[in-house]
Amino acid sequence: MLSPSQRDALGELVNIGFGRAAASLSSMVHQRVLLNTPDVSVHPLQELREHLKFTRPEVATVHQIFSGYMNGDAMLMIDTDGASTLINLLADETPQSQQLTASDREALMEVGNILLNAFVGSFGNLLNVRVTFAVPRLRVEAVNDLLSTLAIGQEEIRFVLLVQTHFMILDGQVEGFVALIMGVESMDKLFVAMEQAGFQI
Amino acid sequence: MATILLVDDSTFARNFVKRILGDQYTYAEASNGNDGLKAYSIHHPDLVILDVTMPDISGLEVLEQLRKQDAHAQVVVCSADIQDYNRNRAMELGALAFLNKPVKPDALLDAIRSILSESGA
Repeated sequence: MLSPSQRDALGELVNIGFGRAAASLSSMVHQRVLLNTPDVSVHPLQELREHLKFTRPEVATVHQIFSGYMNGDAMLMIDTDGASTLINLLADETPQSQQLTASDREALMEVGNILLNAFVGSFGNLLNVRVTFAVPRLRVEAVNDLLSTLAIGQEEIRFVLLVQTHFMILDGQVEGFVALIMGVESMDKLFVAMEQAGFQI
Repeated sequence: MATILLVDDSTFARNFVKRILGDQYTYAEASNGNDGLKAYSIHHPDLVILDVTMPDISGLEVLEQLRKQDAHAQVVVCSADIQDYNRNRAMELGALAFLNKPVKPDALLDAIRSILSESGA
């Protein structure tokens, strides 16, 4: 589906974007954030679930829809235990409970907002295109239920570009996943913008 | 004591700013753009700290309307959206500073103190 040069170029773009996002996360929690090499792939929409590498049954997800030059869904996924640890890192406190309170949810949503905006927003800056973000939504639920709410799922799009990258804080006490999902039309526009910005496609 | 209006849909973000700035200011708060505009006309704050991505109208639209309401309104924009367009547009609309979230405490304190001291608030 993707040529090696498209995959390479996209991997580079994602590396830059997620580097920016990780720096933001690191400055919030005062910890080093370790990143894995991003994985870029194209799949039929109905097969998306099986290609998502974050396999926990229940996750806390901050989901943000973006639109403009290209449309899609950006998602930060953290397992629920990791979410509690992350929130306590933000507050510089020892974990009290694994249950997410209302203020925990607010904090997590803001972390997701900052991280996803840094990630997708850096695409906008690098490619000289503009996207607008909807307000973030936090959900704690099964991954399957979450996937049914994707913006692209409401369109008649059969294939999606899936960009996944995994990060880790505190030797794996917090592990998360960022996914960027776009339909074919936006994917084509993304490659056009990348070419215009000088990426070798 | 100077009054600062915080317009941000995230309670966490508003509390974070209040924690940085401390009790040397009086705060008014709004959790969306329309309420922010109303709060401005009620409280006449010395300075507004404004988010961009909000559920009703965006911070950039708030800034545009605020300019019509008060040409001298002093506004600092704090946004997670790092795109250059937002920074440029906010500055065109007369924002005095644009800070990316997560806001660095020193950068926010410096910006607020310098704006308020210049305006004599």
